[in-house]
Amino acid sequence: MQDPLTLPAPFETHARPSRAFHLTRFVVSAALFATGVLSGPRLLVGTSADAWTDDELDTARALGDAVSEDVTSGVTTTAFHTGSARFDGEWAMGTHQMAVLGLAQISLRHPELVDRYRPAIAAASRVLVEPSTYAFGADAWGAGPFDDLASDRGHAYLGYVALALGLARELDPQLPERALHDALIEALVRRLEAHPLAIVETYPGEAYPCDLASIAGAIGQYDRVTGSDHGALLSRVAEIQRERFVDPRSGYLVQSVDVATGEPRDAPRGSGTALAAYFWSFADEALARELARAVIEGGREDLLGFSAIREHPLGVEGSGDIDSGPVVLGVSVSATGFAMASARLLHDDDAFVGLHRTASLFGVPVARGETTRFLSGGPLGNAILLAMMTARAS
Amino acid sequence: MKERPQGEPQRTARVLAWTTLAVASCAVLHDLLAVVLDRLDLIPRLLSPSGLDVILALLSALVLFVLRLSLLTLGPAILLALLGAWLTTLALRRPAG
Repeated sequence: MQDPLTLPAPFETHARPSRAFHLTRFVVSAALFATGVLSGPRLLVGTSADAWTDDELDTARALGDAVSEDVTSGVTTTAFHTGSARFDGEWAMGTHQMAVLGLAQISLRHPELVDRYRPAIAAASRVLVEPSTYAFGADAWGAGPFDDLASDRGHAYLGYVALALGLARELDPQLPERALHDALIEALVRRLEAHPLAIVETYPGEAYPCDLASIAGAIGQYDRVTGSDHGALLSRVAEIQRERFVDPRSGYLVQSVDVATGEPRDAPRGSGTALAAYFWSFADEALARELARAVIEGGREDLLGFSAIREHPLGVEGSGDIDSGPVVLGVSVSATGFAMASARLLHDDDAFVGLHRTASLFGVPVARGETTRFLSGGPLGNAILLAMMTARAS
Repeated sequence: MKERPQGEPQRTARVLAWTTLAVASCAVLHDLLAVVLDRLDLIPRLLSPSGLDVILALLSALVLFVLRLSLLTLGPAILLALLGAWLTTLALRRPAG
């Protein structure tokens, strides 16, 4: 029997190689092939993740410039093709809201960029206070949100708007829209206080805890920039969310609740939970971290260094919708994107890197001059990613 | 032209060279496709309710992602395996004569 430690018999260049030679070569090749499959993708994709966790200026500026270009060149409902006028309108509003959040976060982190992004933040803020932006809300309520400010109910999507104006106001205390910002916060506070469970409808008969989180975040941010104190109200809203809207098993936030009773009308969802964690970070850090932990520690799936977030809690089957985006193998596009902010809130760099790799794999970053944008993101996706990847950790 | 005799290392080196060229070509094609799709703003049209837009966007996205996933997973793996085969061949060979 041949000694296994003996090298295979050498062969002449023109001689027929031995079987041992073939075996050795096959084993070496197979091992290297496996190493390539297991390590290649993680080494080649999402290489800028560390730059994001370190808040490096150049990396943030490349995406910031792309988002800035989008909003200054004008993003309207015609940029979207969801097949629903309401969703197209929401997405146009969301693009400007997320653009303001992301650009303001970069500017606050790197004051040398304030002048660079001032025009884009101003342009997006102007769109956010333009009544025509809210045709979708006016259709649903019979009155536009700014014509209806005296009402005690409705238009919960104004939380998104007020939060963006709050960030813009932190950068510029003399923000031209500050009077409307004051009025929005006053109306939203009154609407929260008017309902025993602090529920504000987004559309007639529809209420979403994630939208309520945006209102809470907007009020928290308002307090930060104006010195007002709505601490008692925010604590009450946080307690209601914890007790009634958070699924005790998974820690996920339910997506939709009954307007009158607060009973869940939809399942707990990863996308809403991750976005709500980001919003709550402006108002109640403890609740923000609880929600962030639910998605990062409880909802994360890892494969070969790539991470994604389950849209539905483990063991729960479900499909995707307009909020979650496509759900593939149980994980969703939106939850994965929003969860990058959760990873930052928790200072969990490993989770951030895994999520960023996935976002880069499917988002396809494309450099154009000094800007970088995610090919499959469109204006909304790029604005969301900018806001989430620059979310402020305490 | 007289063909030179081909030994095992030369054969493996040729395969490695051609495969590297193929992978590099796929990488260039991927980047070109990405740039074209970026300029045409096609991918976001995947969310359109219907029409030619969707078919075009779906096809281009499919090609792009198949290319991308293949390049990232199989590209480096195949090159590494061939490199390993070539180095093994060189290490274990004995000069003729």
